[in-house]
Amino acid sequence: MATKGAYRGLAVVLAALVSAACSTVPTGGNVFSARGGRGGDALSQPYVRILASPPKPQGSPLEIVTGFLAAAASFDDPLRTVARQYLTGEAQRTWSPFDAVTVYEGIAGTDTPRVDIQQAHVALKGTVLGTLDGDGHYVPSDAQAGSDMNKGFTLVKVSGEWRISSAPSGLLLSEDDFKRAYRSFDLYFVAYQRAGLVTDQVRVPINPSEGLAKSLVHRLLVGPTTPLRGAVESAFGPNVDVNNVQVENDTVVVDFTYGVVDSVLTQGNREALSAQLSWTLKPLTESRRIEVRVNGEQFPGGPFIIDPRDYDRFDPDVLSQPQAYYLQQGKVRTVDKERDNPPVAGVGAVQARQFSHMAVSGDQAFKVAALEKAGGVYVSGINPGSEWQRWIDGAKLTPPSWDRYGDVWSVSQQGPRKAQVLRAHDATRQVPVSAPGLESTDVKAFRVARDGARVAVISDDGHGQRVLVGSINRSDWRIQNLRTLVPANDGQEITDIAWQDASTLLVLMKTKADRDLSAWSVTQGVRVDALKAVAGIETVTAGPDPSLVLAGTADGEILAWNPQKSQWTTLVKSGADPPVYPLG
Amino acid sequence: MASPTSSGTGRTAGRPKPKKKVRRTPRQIVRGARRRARRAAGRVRRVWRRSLQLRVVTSTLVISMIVVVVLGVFLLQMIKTAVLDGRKQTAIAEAQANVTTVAGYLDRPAVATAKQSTSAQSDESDTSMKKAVDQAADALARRADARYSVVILSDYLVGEGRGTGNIDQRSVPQKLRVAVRQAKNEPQAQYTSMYYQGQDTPTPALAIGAMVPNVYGEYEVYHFFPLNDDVDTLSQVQQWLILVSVALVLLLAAVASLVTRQVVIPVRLTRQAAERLAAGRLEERLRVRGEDDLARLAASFNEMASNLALKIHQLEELSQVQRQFVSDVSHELRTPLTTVRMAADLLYESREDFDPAAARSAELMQNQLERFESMLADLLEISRYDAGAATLDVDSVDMRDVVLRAVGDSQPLAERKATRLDLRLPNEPCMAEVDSRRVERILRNLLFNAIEHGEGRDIVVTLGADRDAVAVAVRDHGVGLKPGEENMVFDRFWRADPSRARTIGGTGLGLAISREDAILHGGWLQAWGIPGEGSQFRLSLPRQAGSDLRGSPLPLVPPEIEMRRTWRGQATPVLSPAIEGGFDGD
Repeated sequence: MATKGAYRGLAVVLAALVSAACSTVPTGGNVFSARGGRGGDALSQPYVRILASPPKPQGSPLEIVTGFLAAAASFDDPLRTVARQYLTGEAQRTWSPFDAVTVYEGIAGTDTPRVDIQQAHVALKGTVLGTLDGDGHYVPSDAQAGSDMNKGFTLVKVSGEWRISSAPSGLLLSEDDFKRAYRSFDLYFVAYQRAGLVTDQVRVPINPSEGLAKSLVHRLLVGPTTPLRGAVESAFGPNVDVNNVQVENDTVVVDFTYGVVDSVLTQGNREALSAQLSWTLKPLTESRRIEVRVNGEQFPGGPFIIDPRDYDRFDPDVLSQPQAYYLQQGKVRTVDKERDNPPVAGVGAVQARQFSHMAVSGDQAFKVAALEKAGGVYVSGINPGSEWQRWIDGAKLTPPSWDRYGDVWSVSQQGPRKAQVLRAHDATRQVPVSAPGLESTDVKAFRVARDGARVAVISDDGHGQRVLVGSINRSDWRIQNLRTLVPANDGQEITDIAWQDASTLLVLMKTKADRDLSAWSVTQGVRVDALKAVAGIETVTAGPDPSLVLAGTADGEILAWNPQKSQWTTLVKSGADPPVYPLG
Repeated sequence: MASPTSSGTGRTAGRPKPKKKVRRTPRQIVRGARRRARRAAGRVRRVWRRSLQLRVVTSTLVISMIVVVVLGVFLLQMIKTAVLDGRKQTAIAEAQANVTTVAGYLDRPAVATAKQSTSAQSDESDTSMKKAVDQAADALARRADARYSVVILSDYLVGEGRGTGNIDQRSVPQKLRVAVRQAKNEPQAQYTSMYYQGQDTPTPALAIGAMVPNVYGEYEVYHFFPLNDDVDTLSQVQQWLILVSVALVLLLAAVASLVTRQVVIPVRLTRQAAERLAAGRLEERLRVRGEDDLARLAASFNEMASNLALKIHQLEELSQVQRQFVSDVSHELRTPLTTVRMAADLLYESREDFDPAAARSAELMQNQLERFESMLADLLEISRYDAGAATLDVDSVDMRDVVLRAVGDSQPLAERKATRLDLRLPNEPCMAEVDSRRVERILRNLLFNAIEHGEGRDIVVTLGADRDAVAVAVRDHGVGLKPGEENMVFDRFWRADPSRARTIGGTGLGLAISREDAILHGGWLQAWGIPGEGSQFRLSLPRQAGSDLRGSPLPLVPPEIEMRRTWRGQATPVLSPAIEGGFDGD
């Protein structure tokens, strides 16, 4: 017994020693990285929600309307149960939150709320900023076209409390509400023949119970927005749905339903799907790898893991670090000031023709196209012995534009308000392309985007010049979904447009005294940047970052925009035709 | 416990078809279980009482368990307090900083918003809001990320409720709201459960609420710090504590078991040695290892054992010396006795020449000398037994002849005592391998005894035999034996009544010698007696010399006595007085 007591005492002492050793905090040791991982869902971003509250007891009509608008802007409940408490029984039946989403700026009409004993009117006055399509495509409202808003609410007393008896249908979101409830994301779809990706932009509503990543993938599965419909494809089949998106270790696991297996039967489709998924999820996943699973299990036939770096070649900008060219006295020269702008060898002899407005094709089969003064678009390769060949014949052609598939596009102005879009793949045949939105306008410029899906057009339908953006439906060869990106105001003339990258279009405008050069986002329909333009600039060309924006003046000077110093520098003094980057 | 009917039905149901499974009533099952439990309890109790090790291990287990549980609860409580306190402090600090931020946003005049509104149209990347509460909530959401959630509520202003992340509005406890509204300037905290949108399971959280007044109204700002990590930490600590505690308790039990084993095994060895010692194996010794208490115990035990053996040996030697002395004395006395005898014979033969008194003396001397001689012979005989020098002269004889010879020898004495000897001999010969001289001497001794103490009543001599053994019973109807005297009668020089004179000149060694004789044959010599009923002596011998005797053909207790006893025992209580009376009258 005495020994047992001794053993127990020993154990207690040992335990005390061990715990004493553990409880001390180290005051030295190695330096270690203090980069803390983000807690919670790595794929989501912080956001704020409106907490809908039921009508305030004894609230004034204005308070009821304000509360209703706030409750309707709360996205917790798709049916807006709380918002409906603000409505009378009759209005509850007629009001629907699904009709349309209008984004406004303004304050609920405090001006003259006519209050009598049984009925009250409150007006919501302000400006319509834009509308959100059912497919998540935000359309900013035209600055001129009637953007004033005046929505009226009628309130009646229901058992002593004011309730809304008539409310404008659809959701009315203030700008704050809109920013709070939606996140803007680029979706990527596959261009014709899986040549690359085309960017599309949507507003994804924040669904608190779902997670942003899942919402985004869900939206990707729905398909492109209206402007791109028909011009691009999705590698996802029609019966694919997403179950879950989550982060495991350093891999983002995207769990689809079984339909995804059918979507990747061919290698090409599999690559396209991987590219779509990795590019779309890039803002959330950063450089993590993505694993595709099927109903929570490994993809049949081995793990389906997407490394985003493998799909860089699907870049919707198509070009990286492109070289710019210009035409000088019938010779194609490379813009390279340090090496004295060397001419490109192998381009066919000009002979007696006078070429201008050159266009350069994409990387693989390098070709140049140019407009002949007498009419017609001529094309020459750069292999030794290449000849200039006429690919498109016609009068009053717009400067040629290459697409990534090796087609040359131009618009023939066949008369006042009569334009015909033409396309040629070789010298043998020029194909007219239907363009319902252009045929009865004057077309000044026609540029196919580098992704091959979008086109930008300067056209004039008699109500003033406008920059239109549309897409090419290559299955039935049609220019479709044209809509106005930039209208010219009074006294402005749109002189040139150029694609900078997949979603940015440079627009050069001229007034009597001034030049205005600005970058517009094609997907969002808003101006994103304004460059300082100098007088004399007539043409402009641009390539994806970090290529410089180049401009040509009327007297043959080539200028480059230095973004750091915010000024133009001269590259070629005089005698040069407008510079161009390949494609665009 | 159980009613007789139920047990009866169970028995009758079970009896006709034993193979069929008997459906037992619940009460029977309970009873069976209780019986089994009782049996098990008994077993456990027995083991418990027998095993010192079990008792020590159990008490160690119980005590260490209590200690560990108390210690563990205390430790866990301390860790919990420390973890939660740390969490609370950081949470309160963070919440306070946030409340200050919110107050800053809410106090900002609405002028800034008006200025922004025109330019904000094209500026898509800028997510700055116009409403102060939105700006505040946005700032908090960015700061909180996923670490905690914030809920802003306002009772006075409409449409100002905001929440960060996917926190659900029902997370705000009503009790806390009331407390926050009452306290005004002082933030209030509460441990509560928070809910997320789309998740039904609550998360433990620390909620901190504060009032933020501004010119338009009052806002309530609630922070929810999820305590998931802390709960995980604590449950992990708890698991480890339990694991370590169990291990510690088991370890202590194992230690106790080991220690008691070290103590118990030597004790057990000592006990076994003591048992062997008690069984007479005096050479038994314990092995002594080391110098601890147990070794000293073993040494003392060994010392005790050797002392005991020495003493016993000394006593044996002493009794040997005594016997030798008796034998020597007897031998030494014989030679002078022979001379005395011759002289006495001479005197006795010429006694008629003496005067009557001298003649009477010569007769007396002659008698006492005879007695002296026979006593000396008995002493020599018995000392021969003590020395182990007695040998059997075995011969196959008919026991009837032996009995008849012994009876014939006793006849004169019997006639003198007016005692009738009743002989009950079997008709056929009763052959046995015996030393007829010694058996005759035994029977003679028994008969002399019976005649002497028979008080003139009949003496019955019975000879019985079966396959293995023969027996002779001598029954007298004298004073009988007192309880306990059945064995004492065979002691040397024992007499029932020391005051009584020996009429037939018994030496006091007759029965002792007889018993030695019987033992020498491998037989028994036993006595029975009841005061007033007389006594019976029975000699049982194996038929074959050297074989073991398993039973006797004759009963030790005379049949009539036995019969009377069984009659009494079997008689019904009501009838017994009558029967007794009948016997009494007999």
